[in-house]
Amino acid sequence: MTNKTLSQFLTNIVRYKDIVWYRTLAQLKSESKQFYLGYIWFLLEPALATATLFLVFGVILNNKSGEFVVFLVIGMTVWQWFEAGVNEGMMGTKMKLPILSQIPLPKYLFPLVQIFSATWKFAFVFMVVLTFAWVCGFAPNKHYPELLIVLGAQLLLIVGIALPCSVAASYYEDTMRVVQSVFRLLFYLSGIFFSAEKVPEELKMWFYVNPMAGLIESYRAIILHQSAPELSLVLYPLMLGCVMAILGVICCVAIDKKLMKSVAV
Amino acid sequence: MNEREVIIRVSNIGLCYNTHRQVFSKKRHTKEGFWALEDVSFEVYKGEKLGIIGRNGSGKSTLMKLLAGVICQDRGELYVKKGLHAQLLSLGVGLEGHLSGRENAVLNGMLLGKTRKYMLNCVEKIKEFSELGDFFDCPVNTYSSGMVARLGFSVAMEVEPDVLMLDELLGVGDVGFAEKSNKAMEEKFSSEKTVILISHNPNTIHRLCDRAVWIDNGRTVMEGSTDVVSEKYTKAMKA
Repeated sequence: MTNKTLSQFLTNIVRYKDIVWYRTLAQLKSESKQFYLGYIWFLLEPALATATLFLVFGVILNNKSGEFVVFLVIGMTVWQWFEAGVNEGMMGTKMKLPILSQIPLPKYLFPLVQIFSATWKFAFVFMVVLTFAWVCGFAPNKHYPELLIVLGAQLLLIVGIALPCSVAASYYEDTMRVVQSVFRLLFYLSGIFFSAEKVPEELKMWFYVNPMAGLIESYRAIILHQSAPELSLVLYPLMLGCVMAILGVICCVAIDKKLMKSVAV
Repeated sequence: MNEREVIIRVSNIGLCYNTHRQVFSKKRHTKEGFWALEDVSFEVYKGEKLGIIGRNGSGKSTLMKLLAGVICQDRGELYVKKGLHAQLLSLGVGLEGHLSGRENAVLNGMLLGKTRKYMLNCVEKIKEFSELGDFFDCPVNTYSSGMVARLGFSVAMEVEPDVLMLDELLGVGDVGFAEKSNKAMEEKFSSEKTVILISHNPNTIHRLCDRAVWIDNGRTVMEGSTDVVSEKYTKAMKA
């Protein structure tokens, strides 16, 4: 069953890759056209979120060093990719039910379009973040290629969480509320505005249960501390993402021709 | 006489919609639901024009979705020839309001099973058929509903599935375009293409189809020549 599902998934990916690619580009274009400032919002949104955190933790709590700004920007940017990717991916199927009620398409298609669209926006912002870090004195170093592994692990984690959630959200709108509540909690527990060193030793194990905590620390290790990320902090989200993504594909295939019998369009 | 090739075989199909999914719903633990199809059987031959007739709510649209591969049956057997592409004529499904008619035509065609290259090659033909002129390169959210229907219909006419399924034969847009769209659809009926038309109008079925299947309350009542089925159906409706 799993082998069949996986081979069907791979065949479909080849068949539908063009749809995913061009709908992702169309989605970005369509999104930018909704606003007067267009594509500028892709950059402005994380910049404003970082500025809010800087106002609270930098200005009010008096920590205005350049390193802290870069520290915050890294945490906030990768967190926003995670949040947007999962939230938008989760709603991918639900939003396109009118299409899915007419055309037989795999149920992971639209979640993937949403995730890739969020990923493109992040890629653009991340390049700006790396340039900003350089301007602040954190030049590219020999560990930069390792960023690709960390980025890959995070993308897989996003896909792994978004796909099963997209299935659940198609049946039950409650899923969205549950996920958003969990995200609100994780936002404060991922080390976006504090370093993992500040977490008490006895709580560290629990802190790292959240895969984003390890990933954010890995990005900072490479960009700020010019060191290799700790292997376990990258392997854990990578493995978790892999297992969850396979589970998500199995769920999507399992509901493929059943979904439209259970939901109203 | 050559035996005709069966490309779709529907055997004693039953299909149930289940919408009780609330924690306080008394029916949430039961397997009860609404059986839109109870026992439907018929065959579709290659190249024929098959009419499916029935009252509103008889299960015709559910049957189309089943044949299109959108939903699956809960009992019975459905045989579809391997590799066969059966497509519902969906006008303007999935159009993105902020994108132009041209961009939407390509994206929509890709969703309907065509490659990007194919759609790029026929996009000018779509522009011409739709008579949208300069509006073809304007965002779809600036279109009137008639213009959206013209775009949707023009794209659908370019996508050539093995089996075309039509849910009622309706004119699209204003009088001029309605005539043009009806003519284009009727051309499909006089071609070699396999067409399935669902309607509650016996005259339409009689005029355009070779054979008909009458469905009522999710069950096949009758299958046969359009003359006989239309006559019996009309009598039953008047009774």
